[in-house]
Amino acid sequence: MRTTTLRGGWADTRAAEHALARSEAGHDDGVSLLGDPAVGAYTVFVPGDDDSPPQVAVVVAASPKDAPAGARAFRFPGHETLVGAMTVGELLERSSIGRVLDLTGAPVDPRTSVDTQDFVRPTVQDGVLTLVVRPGVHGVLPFEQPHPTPCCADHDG
Amino acid sequence: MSHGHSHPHSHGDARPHAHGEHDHEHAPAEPLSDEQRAVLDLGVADSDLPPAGLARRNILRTAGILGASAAGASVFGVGQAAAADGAERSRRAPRNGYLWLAGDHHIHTQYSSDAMYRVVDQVQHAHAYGLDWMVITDHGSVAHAKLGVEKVNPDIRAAREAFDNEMLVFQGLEWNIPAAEHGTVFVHPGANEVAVLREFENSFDGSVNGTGSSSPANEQQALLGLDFLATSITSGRIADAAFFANHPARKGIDSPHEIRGWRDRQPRIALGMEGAPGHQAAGIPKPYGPGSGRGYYDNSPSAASFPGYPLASYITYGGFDWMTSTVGGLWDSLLSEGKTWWITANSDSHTIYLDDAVRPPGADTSAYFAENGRYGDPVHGSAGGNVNNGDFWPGFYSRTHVGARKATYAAVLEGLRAGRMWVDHGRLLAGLEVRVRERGTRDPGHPLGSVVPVGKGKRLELVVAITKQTLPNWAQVVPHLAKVDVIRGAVTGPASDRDTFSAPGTRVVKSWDVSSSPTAVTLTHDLGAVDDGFYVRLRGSDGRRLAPGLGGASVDPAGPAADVIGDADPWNDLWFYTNPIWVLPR
Repeated sequence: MRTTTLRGGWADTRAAEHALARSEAGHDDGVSLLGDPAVGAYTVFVPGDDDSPPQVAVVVAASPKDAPAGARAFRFPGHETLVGAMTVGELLERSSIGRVLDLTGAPVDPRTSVDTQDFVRPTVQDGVLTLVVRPGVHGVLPFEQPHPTPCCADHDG
Repeated sequence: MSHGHSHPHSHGDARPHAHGEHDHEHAPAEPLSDEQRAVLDLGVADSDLPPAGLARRNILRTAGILGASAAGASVFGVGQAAAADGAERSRRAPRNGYLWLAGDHHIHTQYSSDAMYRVVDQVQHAHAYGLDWMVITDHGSVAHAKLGVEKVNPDIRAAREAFDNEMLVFQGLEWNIPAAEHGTVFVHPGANEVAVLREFENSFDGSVNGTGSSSPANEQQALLGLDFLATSITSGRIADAAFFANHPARKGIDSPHEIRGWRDRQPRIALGMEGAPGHQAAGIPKPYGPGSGRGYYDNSPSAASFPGYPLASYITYGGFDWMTSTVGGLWDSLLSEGKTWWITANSDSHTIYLDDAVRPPGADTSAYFAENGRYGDPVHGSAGGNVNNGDFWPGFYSRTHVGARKATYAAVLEGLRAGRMWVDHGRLLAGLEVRVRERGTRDPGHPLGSVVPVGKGKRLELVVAITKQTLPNWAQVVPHLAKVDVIRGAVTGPASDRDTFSAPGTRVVKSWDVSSSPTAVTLTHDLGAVDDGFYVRLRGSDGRRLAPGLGGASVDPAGPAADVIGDADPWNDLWFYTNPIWVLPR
């Protein structure tokens, strides 16, 4: 069993990630990495239909090659080392992320500084764990932001 | 063309039209006459049409252009109908024929749970900052459907009067489109403006009816909402209505087929989308600003997102939404189909950058809002200007310029529907006139939004008359136009895949460096001898942030750069965009 859809039915990626954390804390949320640190955990989107809204499912796979295209990794080998700022080269060295691309799909110079914001969520593209980055104040940022503006938020901070 | 032009100009155009001196290719694709509208509007029974009108309708039916709901009334349909009809041919219209009225169709007040100002606060600021028309668009919600939609109306009426009706204030709402994003829906003022909006919201708002999530059934609800607006017009309940999709790429949940679906279902009501979203101060760096994404575009795909959209679609470029800013992107894919689909630029004003007003203590809670449908009137705060607010007042930064025959509600709606529109940020331009005409003539030509039906082989030119800005903008800086680009694409007809979002042939074909041009500059671009159908649109910039476009330098060598999250100074990255003009060989 190389790929397992363990659970579905979460409203968003955050809730799905939280379910894994709860499982690891002893709650029965049904998500497990099977005790293997080499295994990756991914969120995948399940489109809605007339009977159910769109949902987020979690897939556990031994390798990005076994995960669905577009799956978004939130646990992967080396993920815990991706904190603070580092160069793209260091990020590639420390984790199982296989490449870093800019918004046009071009590889980013390994010397470029990336501020991880302690939140790195690469996706599977062509079987490779791929981090797309966006321009940041200093260097680049992982595309997905840790605290996106929610819909209809009260912006009056 | 000898057939009659005796149709009444019921929109009240006081200017006489000189008819009968032009042949077909000079017939501007002007707004449809009432007679043409009746032909296209299947709400008007065949038996109610004059014989000539019925004949035209049957031609369109035979051609498959006129379906069950006038679906697919693309530029082919409109252009051919106009050619068959002679349209409203006017030699007076060009250049000085239109008042260019600046406006904003996306503005919130204290009747939105995430906003705070009185209607008159917004109107007063918009007036001061030079707008001529505006739409109040509080969020659709349970509280708004029950209370706000009704209670805001006296405030709007009072604001109209307070400015001697100099400011055109439409009532609308920000529709939670079933299965999709938000959109502006608004109506022509009248006795039933509230009744129609209330019924629309209660019946078709995604939040009110729990139809927000993506599903085929909910997508159908969105279409039924547009049908309701159309019926409200044909039944005479309201004089007119319009819909624009707001911040369409923000969360990736407006799929290409939904956009095509809205537009094709009711092409006279579903008019376009925000080319540039509001919240343009949101990217100002901390600690001076919110430090977010420009336009609050800082999201990533969700389960509701269209899976085909790339991550690059979730951010803005030069302050503009990816659908519009990408040369050869989603907007161009619609234009190359011949679909009329226009762009606008608005404030989405909720809470203003550096404003120090606050909601009044005691009347500032969600419980108060739920009970009253609004917050209390804002009061002076004691914490200084709020650097976390990401919006500008209406007219302060974003403007949608509409070519209207006169300064009336009907004329603004007519100009919006005709696509006679261009948009700018930071008052980049003082004036802009764009025409397509026969090359080398002094023909006044065809304005923005036109479909130019022309004989094959005829040589055309694009004439762009720019008045550069000489006055400072509201940041106290005189903006400086550095360059103007012509974007051209082939008309390739209906897309076989309704989820297509690219137009591979569209690219920048001409760029002018105008940085040292005089204040009044006229640029002319040879469009060549007409062979196949095409469209042209324009874009220009202060030249401060340029980068190759997402389609590569061969498509767009110096387009808008990706906005940097947490570091997007809106005043140092100014653009204008126009709507297109199509040229179709006969």
